[in-house]
Amino acid sequence: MARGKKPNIAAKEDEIFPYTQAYYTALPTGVIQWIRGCIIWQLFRFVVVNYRMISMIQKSHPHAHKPGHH
Amino acid sequence: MARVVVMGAGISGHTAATRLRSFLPKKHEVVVVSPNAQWNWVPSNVWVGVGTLKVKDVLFDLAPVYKKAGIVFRQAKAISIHPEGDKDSSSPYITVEYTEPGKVGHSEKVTYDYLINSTGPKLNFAATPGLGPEGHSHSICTADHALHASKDFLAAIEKMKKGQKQTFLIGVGHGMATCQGAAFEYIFNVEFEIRRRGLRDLANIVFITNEHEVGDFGMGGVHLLRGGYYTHSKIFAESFYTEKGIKMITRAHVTKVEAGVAHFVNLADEEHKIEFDFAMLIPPFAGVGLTAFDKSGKEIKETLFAPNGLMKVDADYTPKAYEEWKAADWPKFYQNPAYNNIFVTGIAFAPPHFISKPMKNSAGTMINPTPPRTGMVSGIIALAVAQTVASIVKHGGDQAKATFFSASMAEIGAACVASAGKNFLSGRAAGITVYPVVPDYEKFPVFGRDPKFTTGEIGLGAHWIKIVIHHMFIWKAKMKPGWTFLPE
Repeated sequence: MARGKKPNIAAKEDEIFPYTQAYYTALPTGVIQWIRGCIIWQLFRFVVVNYRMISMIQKSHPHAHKPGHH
Repeated sequence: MARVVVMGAGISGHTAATRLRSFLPKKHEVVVVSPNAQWNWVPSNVWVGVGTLKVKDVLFDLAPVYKKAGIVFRQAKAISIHPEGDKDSSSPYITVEYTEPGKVGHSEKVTYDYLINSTGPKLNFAATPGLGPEGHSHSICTADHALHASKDFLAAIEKMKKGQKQTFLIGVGHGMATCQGAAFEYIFNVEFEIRRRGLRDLANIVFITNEHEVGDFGMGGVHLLRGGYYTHSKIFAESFYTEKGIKMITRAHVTKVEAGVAHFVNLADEEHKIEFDFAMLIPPFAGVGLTAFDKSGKEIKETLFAPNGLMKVDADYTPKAYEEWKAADWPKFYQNPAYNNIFVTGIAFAPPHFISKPMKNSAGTMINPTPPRTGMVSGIIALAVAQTVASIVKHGGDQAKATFFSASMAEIGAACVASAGKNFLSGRAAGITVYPVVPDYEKFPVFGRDPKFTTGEIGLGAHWIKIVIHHMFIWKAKMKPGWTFLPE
């Protein structure tokens, strides 16, 4: 199949043809891929994701039930 | 003086034992019975399986840790439970068979006041002919399995270096398997290691799963709020597989694994086979094969256990249609309904039903994932049980006066860091939080989960978190200074 310029997406061009499963999939742009490895941004995300996980973990720890109320 | 016996020293058993030891005065005894001499940080087995981490980095000896902590350790396999004792004594006990070198095969009765069943699962390779390390596929469920997988994986790499094309088949090896997350991590680590060596064009990488759609993970998937849309995890998972050029086979039940060929059937009744050079297929889980007897010696296995061998707890086991499932069906206290001095943690408890919708093909073959119980979930359940048992012991066994601690999977979340490549600067992982694990459609209409705490993203930062978690939890399991302050 003749093709023009490949868009800046992460997947291998050969894998994606119309009417195949891969064709219908959302794919990240090159910018998103770059952000996933950008040290400065990822340091910030490291803090954010940690905070998010700790918040969720605190919410998830066992709940005490008063004697006779279990 | 009370004696609490913990059967199993995996993530949940070890958590229950160590927490109990820290909660209870020394006059009470905590005994751990485990056939394994070592503790394994299972989430890092994925790195052992591709050769980027050594086995010794995910294992440590339990005996010195327990000796220092004041926990009695018996390296033995639990065989049977006698919750009413026997005709000679009414003290409940378990029978064990030693696996410790020098005592192998010796049996013993271990009496208990409280029993915590943390035996984990039996890796049921026999459910699929040819599945598993003794058949024709690999597993990363134990450190030893992961080591064997890495040897064959690295051998496949060598073949590719000589120009030979290789097909890697990775996923689950049965229609009722769970742990799709481990397969997800492994396939992306395999892809990462192959690409890192410049050999990607020689590798055909295929994911095979019993999920209805990728991204289900045995919990029906999750909806993440991204870009102004509530988007199902299928979209993100499918995107990641496609981005990495990994082919997907969904709704599949592997029926047989032969040398280099896996046979499978799908929900549409189609029978297929796929050839492979390397396969890592996660087996289904079952109970470990414990049995139980009453005072007269009559077997009462069905009183304590569900048909799959997992132990019954305070769940609602009434058979119901998927549409009638409720969050309240799930157990809160993990207490056996027949014997209230028996508790269960981790994978050893029998779930009331699946989380994903049950699916079967016209031949009646069930093809859907069973409920996952990750390290965090197992740890939190173990903590709740340890807190409850400690309170009961401190109240002299009077359960009406004790404080019970609940940890229903419909009330707790899970933080998962799924590795997609191990390198400090170029590694990737998916950092995912899900709250709650079991969807509660009454509390959170439409999607069943709280969008504020149900999140996910891929990046290097999540990989750093996976590294931190690896070191932090091994530190904690070794009961090093400050371990009690670390969460489950």
